Formats: sequence, C-alpha cells, structure tokens
Amino acid sequence: MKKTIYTLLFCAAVLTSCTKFLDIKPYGEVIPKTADEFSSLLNSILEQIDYGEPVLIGYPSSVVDIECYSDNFETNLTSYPSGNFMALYIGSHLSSKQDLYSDLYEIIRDCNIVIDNLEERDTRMGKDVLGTAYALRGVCYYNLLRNFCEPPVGNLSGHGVPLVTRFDMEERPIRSSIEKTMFQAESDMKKAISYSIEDKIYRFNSDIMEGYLARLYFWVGRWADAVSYAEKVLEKYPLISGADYIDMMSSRYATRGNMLLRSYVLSSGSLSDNFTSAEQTLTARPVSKRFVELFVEKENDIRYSLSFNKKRIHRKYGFGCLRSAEMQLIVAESLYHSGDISGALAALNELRRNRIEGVEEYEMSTLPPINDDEYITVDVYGEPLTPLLNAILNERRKELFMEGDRWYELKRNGRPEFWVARQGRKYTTMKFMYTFPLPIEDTELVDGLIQNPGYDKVQ
Amino acid sequence: MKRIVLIAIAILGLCACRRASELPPIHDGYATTFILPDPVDLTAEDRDLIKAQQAEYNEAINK
Repeated sequence: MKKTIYTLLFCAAVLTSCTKFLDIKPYGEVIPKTADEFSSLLNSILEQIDYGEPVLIGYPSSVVDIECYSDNFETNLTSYPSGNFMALYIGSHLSSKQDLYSDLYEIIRDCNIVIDNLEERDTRMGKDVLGTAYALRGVCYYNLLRNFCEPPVGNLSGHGVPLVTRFDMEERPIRSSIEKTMFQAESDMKKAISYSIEDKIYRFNSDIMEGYLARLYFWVGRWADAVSYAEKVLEKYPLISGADYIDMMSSRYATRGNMLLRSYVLSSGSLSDNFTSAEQTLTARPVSKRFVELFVEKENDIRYSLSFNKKRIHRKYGFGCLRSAEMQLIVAESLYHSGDISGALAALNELRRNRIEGVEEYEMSTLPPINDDEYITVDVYGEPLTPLLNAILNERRKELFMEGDRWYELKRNGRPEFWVARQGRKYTTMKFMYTFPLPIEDTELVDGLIQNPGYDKVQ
Repeated sequence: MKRIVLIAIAILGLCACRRASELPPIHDGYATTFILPDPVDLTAEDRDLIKAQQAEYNEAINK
C-alpha cells in the first residue's frame, strides 16, 4: 500500500509540471535590461529613417508611388516601357499594402517591449528611450489611422485599428473605433512630449511631436487643437522664403531651413541608386495640366520652376518630411472650418507672400473661381467647395507636391473616383480603394477582425 | 487497491493540460492577393478625351 502511495506521489510530483512550461528562454540572445540596451531596439528603426524607409515617413520610391496614385500626374500620358515601373493606379498596389500594416505593427511591438520592460525610467537616457517608444508608437497609430481607416471627420464611430499596447503573443485584438485609435495616437504623442526627448539621435523631440499632433488633429477634424499645435511649431520654425526656401527644397540629403524631420538623409550605395531610379522612372509620366494651371503667377511663384520643367516633367525631389509650410496650411484650413474666415484668408496670404514675388493678396472678392475639371469638389464634410477653401487646397497641392500629400487630400475630401487608361482599358480608382485592406492572414486568424469594405474576394 | 491505482493512472493520463488546443490552427498558403474589379474597355468618348490630352500636351511642350 505504502509503495503504491509513494509511486503515485512520485508520479504526481514528476508529471505535473509548472504552468509555464513552454516559457523557453532564448539562448544566444541578449534580453535587454538597461536603457542603453533597449535603445538599440529603437535605433534600428530610427536608422532606417535616415537610410530611407517606406513605413514611418516615406522615402523617394514610396513617395513617388503615393504621388502616382493621385491626380498630380497625367497617367494617360505615360510613356512606355519606362512607365512599366510605376504604379498605374492605386489598384496596382493594394495587395502589397498588407505589408505596410504588418510593418507598422512590428514597430508597435518593439515599442511595447520597451514601454513594458524598461526599468531605468528616471535617467536622462531612460526618459529619451521611453519618450521615443511612445513617439514611434503614436506615429504608427497615426499612419494606421490614415491608411487603414475610412476618413474620420463625421465618422468617429467607424472602424479603427486593433489597439495593441503591451507585448502579448496570445492577444488577438479586434478593431477599435476611429475615435479610440485617435485617442491612442494622441495619448502616445503627448506622453512622448512629456518626456522632453533631448538626445538628437532619437529624432522625435517635442517640436516634432507637436507637429505630429497638429497633423493628427487636422486629420480627425479637431480644428481648434490643430491650430493650437501648428501655431506652436510655426512660432519656433517660422516660414522662410527666397534663397533659403530654394536651399531647403533643393537639398538632396539634408534637413535644412524649417524642416523639422526628414527621411533619407544618408546616401549610400544601392539606396542612392534607389533615389535616382525613383526620379528617373517618374520622367516617363508628366505632371497633369490641372496641376500646371494652378501656378497662375508662373515664374513669380518660386515653386513653379522647382516643381517641373517645360516638358512638365517633375523637378522636385520626392521625400518624406515634416516642415512649417504644412503647419501654415493646417492653420489656414482649420481656421476656415472653425468659421474664422478672415483668419483663414490671412494665413493663406501669409504663405503666398513667402512664395510668390509681388503677389497680390487675395481678398474674398478676388479669390479664383473653382475649376470644374478638378477631382475634389467637396470638403471633409461633403459640402461643396467654396472659393476660399478651394484656394487653400490649391496652395497645399502646390506646396506639398512630391511629398506624398495629395493622395491623402483626395481621401480627406470626398474620395473622388477617377480613371486612367492603359492598352485600351480603363482602370478606376474607386471610393473603397482609399482605405487599404487589412492582411488576409490576420482576418482569417482573428475571429471578429473585420476587413475593410471592397476586399471580400481574394486569391 | 488495484482499482484505486487504475483510477489514479486514468486521472493522471487523461487529464491533459488546461489549454490543450491553445495553438492556432496551422494553415498553409493563405491567399495574398485581393481581386479587384476588372478594368473595362475604353469608350469612343474616353479615347477622344485621351487624344485631346495628348494634343494639348504636345502643343504645350513644343511652344
């Protein structure tokens, strides 16, 4: 009897193991402990910004792609075979947007590891590392919001993205709302600011995060907040003009003038070739007549000869950046939507004074008429454009040409459908295509994860 | 006695871990491509519009 009981007890002791028997510690890998070690997780992400990456800020190739989806170029006039290397329309790239989604969540995962586990929170370095993790996570949620959610103004209860704020391999979150995604991005950006990142290697200092907050509030239609943060940035980085502006915009690899952040500032080997090839490829597609005609003042507008040549081939370098002119345009449009018409007009005129020699200031009675050929006909609320808003959007289009902005402007303002032609066939950018698809694998694996409309057929 | 031993063995043997199927089902070869609406043929009106775009462009750059 005793023997049996001992045998049973022995079996029970040996066979019932600890509950976390599958928690295998990695061998040959360093488990970060100090702020210095955690920073290396983030440094690899930050380094990619300098060498050019398509996920966080964008680099020449990805910016050229986004420009090709928009109406800044005349796709119907593309010359082939060089034109084969460019996106015909957004439909050519929609499936590959699944990678963008996964890449953004990979960065969020790394940020979560830092935020969850960093113990050294009181040293200067600890604060910088933690602040950077919040900054990067906030920027990722902002990018997810812009790319994978429908336009937010008037639609805050629409589908947001899954919110992952801690590292847990078992977690299978479903989509939040647009409003919750916005709050997540906002909270992360504000936390980043609260850490006052000092070391320049971490890039995302408080000024830059204030710029991102302005962008976020502008995207979701929180106009007063957008004005407040954009003006904070403009106070520290005022508009520049003339030779300083040309120097900033012509600089191929440097953050100059009032640029707060720029990707692709280090050239090396194949990436340098990537820059060149992105530009060369685009020479096969002229800019659109509608875009050219926005430059009413022609050479007096400093951007005219910076943007394209006489054959309507682009001249401006494609890059991703954050700079003051965008903040000025955010102020102008946000004041407009807040009902401050004279403030909006003044902000628009201020930008034009810095760009156009001998410019005559716009007055409400001298604003140019709306061009009926333009694709954007309504504003963020679906209301018909007024001459003032039309002028603000036109100025934005000229200013941020080749910076990957116009596609999102189309998305914000009515998601117009338009077509391009190739080999006798017509390819239409449809309304649903402005919102990119979630990865098929994710929607298959996670119960309740809802795909965006229009992406129900797969192969 | 034998019965007790057998029951004990059965309990130990048959009571598996709490989350026996915690691993997600393994799938090979997820679809990776979305099927979008097919392009349609250009109409005569569309072709005229493209010709007009080309004519305007050629004229503008050869001024």
